[in-house]
Amino acid sequence: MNQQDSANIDPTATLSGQAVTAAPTEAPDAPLRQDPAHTEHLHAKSITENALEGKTMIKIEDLSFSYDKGKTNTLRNISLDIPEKQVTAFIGPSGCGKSTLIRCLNRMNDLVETSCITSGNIKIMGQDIHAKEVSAIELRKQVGMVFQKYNPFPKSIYDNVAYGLRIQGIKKKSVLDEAVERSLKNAALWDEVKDRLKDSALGLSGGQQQRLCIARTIAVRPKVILMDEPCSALDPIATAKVEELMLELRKDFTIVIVTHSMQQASRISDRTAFFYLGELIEYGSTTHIFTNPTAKQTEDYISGRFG
Amino acid sequence: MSEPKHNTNNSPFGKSSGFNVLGIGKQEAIKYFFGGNATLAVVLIVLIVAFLSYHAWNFLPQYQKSLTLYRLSGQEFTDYASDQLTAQKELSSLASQVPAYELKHRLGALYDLEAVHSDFKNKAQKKLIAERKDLQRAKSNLDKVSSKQPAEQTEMLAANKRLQEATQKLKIRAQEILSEISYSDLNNKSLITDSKYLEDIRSSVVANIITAKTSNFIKTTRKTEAEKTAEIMALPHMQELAKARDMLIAPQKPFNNYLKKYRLIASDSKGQAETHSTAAGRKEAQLIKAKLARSEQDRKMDRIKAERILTATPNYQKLNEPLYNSLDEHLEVQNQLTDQTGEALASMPMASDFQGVKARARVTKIKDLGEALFPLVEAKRQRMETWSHTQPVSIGQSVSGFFMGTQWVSNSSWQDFYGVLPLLAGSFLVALVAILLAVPFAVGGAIYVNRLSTSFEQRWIKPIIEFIGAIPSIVMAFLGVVVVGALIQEHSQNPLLSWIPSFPVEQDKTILTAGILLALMSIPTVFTLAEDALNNVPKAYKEAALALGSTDLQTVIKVIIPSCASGIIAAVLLGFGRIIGETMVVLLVMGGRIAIPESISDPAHSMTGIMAQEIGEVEQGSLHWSALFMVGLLLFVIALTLNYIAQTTLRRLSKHS
Repeated sequence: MNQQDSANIDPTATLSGQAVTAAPTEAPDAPLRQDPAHTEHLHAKSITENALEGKTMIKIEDLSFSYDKGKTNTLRNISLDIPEKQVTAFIGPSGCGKSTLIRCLNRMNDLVETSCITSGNIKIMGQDIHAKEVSAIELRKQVGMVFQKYNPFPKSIYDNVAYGLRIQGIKKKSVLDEAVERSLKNAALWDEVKDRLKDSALGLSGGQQQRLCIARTIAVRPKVILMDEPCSALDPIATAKVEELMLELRKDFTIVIVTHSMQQASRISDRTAFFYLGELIEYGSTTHIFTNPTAKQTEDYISGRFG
Repeated sequence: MSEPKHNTNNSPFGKSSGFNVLGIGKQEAIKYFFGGNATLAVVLIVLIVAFLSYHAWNFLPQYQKSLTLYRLSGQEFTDYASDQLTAQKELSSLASQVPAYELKHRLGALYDLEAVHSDFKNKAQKKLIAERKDLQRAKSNLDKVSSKQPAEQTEMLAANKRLQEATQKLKIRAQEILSEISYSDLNNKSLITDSKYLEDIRSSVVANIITAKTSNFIKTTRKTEAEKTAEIMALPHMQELAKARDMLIAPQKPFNNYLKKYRLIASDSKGQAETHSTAAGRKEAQLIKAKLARSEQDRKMDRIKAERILTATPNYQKLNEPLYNSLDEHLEVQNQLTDQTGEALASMPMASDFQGVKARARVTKIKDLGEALFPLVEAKRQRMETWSHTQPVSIGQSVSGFFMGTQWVSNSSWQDFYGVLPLLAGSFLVALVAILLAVPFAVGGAIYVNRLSTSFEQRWIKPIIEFIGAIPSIVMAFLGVVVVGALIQEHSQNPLLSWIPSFPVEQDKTILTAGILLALMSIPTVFTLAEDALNNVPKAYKEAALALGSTDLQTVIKVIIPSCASGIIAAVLLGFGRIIGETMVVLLVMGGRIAIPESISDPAHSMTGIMAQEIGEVEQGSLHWSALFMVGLLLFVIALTLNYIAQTTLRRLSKHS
């Protein structure tokens, strides 16, 4: 946990008391990227590492979070910056708090009555999202979420995608039609469903349903998309499609993804944060984390020695 | 396997021994036990249907027989004429009610003043028992003393003083009590009151209690009332009404005479027919008795008695001859009736001439009914002309007589009718009212508790609503008899509520009253089932909707409710089934009038109510008995259908998600 590489500290990263290692800013060393996770397919996509220096979208400062009114902290003193229009992956063993953190970002944890922030804050686009004047409803329109288990509503495909717009009071059919088509195209689902938009969404395959959920989320044009293990319920082919889609979406959206699959993190993310027991152990460029982890725990985890 | 030492065979996978009867092991025994229980439920349903059908099956042929007698005896013929008169009499009775309502409205508080006065007096007297007794004693004492000869001065004085004191005491106490009585204490809330009379009534009651004479106040009231009544009755429209009413009543008498004459004949024929149908049986019994008699003389007597019993079929042709011949006579009285009724209707004043709401409603009703009267009279006459006593009654007529019959008359000396329609209509209407009232509360409550409330509210509201279901229905019925009915009747008079159909309500025991109580009773059922349905909505839907920026309310309305709509519909249907089978409330609170209700402010009877009311006093196996079981069977079929629909809806829900 020493910060031996101080020259490489990302200027946007905030140091937490113990554990944040800096992300290297220089271009990755191509030969180093030879961990088994890399596939031909993703090499072709070639994540541009120099994009790491994006504008900060989400700034988490010294965040501690508790599910039981502060008796025990599920998250402890987390500080990290998530840059705009990049894919940031949260990895770590089960129970490490990565899902809790991502649910803090759009205040989904508000649903748990006893939950509370015990210290620190989260700023999205410079605004503290737990401030009194912030409405969770408005926040969630800007920070969309895709869940682990695909959960389309028991409505038609069209109604699913149009839902977010309809609740904002948009009723004009032409606007809705246009938004539905654009979102489904963005989610790479249009060609598969364009002839049966009025059919029930529950009739689609698992992968299609998950992409429909993504389409539903991007239909309201959020700034940030949070994805909580979006591929864990999908087969490899559907997973590949969703991953491809994420790489496409990063052009327009800031994406934060929680994943259990280290291969997936290495394939699609620009940055990776490793959590362990509610603490952020290491955060940096994906290449750095997977090839040259600073912390011992990170190395153990990604090499499969535990977790 | 675990205890190989008990194993008789040495296979490593052999069945473990232990509990084993007739080759049935422990697992099988448990399986059969549960299977048996499930089978028993099915068997019970089948048995219930069989039991109901067994008692009801005889109804249709028996009813057919009864209707055949009704026709043979000519009762049917005279009833056609009777129907004509009944329809016309309805007009005259309405017309007779109008003046009273109009007077009451125009006189206002004056009209009910005496009633209020006597109500006050009764109340006060109940509290003045001791004082009044004292006064009585003082009076009798004085009588005793003054009757003594010679009268003693001192005793007289003392007695007089005692009387005065008692009077004074009574007066003070009466004044005290009366000052506490006000209009809100009246038992009959429909009495019209006016605060300007309150003091006068109080002092008049005091005077009346002490002197036991009609007070001056009452005398003047009576006088003014009489004057004003005369004034109102002299108004042109009241005069017209009175004239029209007399015109309606006048032709009823000849018609009634005609009816009386021929009903007597029909009744006699019916008696003969009935005697005939039982005579054969009696004759046989008499003959058996003769055989068993001990002495020769008894045997002879019995045999003679048996021979005296007539078993010859009555000559219906001859018996009905006078009826066929009476058609001309009927036409005459009928024409009289229709002509005068037409005239009366034409001279009936406009409804708008009347000020009282109730009077106006009755005048309107007279006009509506009047229009319908002439086609009815004509249709009945047609039937009389084509009537023939020999025409057989088919089993189909017996079926339609039950399902389409509008009369339920039992234990009649004339003819019993078992038409289920009024009961069916009553049951359905009250259930409809109840469910319409219950659904907003129950479903709304379920949505609130399940989706919007805090966990503290959830902990309290749910058990409380569910507790309503534990209140015995008889307690609910008492609540209806004592509180709800009177409350509705009183508040429905409020002009602000007159937009509600069928308001103001004129009775306390109505469909509406029963509907309100049944709604209360069905709320727990609908609430619990609807809440279950809401609970079964996956949490993921809520999360997805919230993550898209919905408010709680948008989530509930646009996502949660649509995805459990069929569950809620099933809950409502089951609630409906619960209501339609409920007995106590409808029996005690719905008024028990057997007629097809016209509005929800009418009293009515129900299928369950009639069964509960009549089954105890019916001879087993009789026509009436089997009719009640037919009603039971019908009710069972309705409940079964509702349940089936509810279950299919629920199944569709589970298939959907």
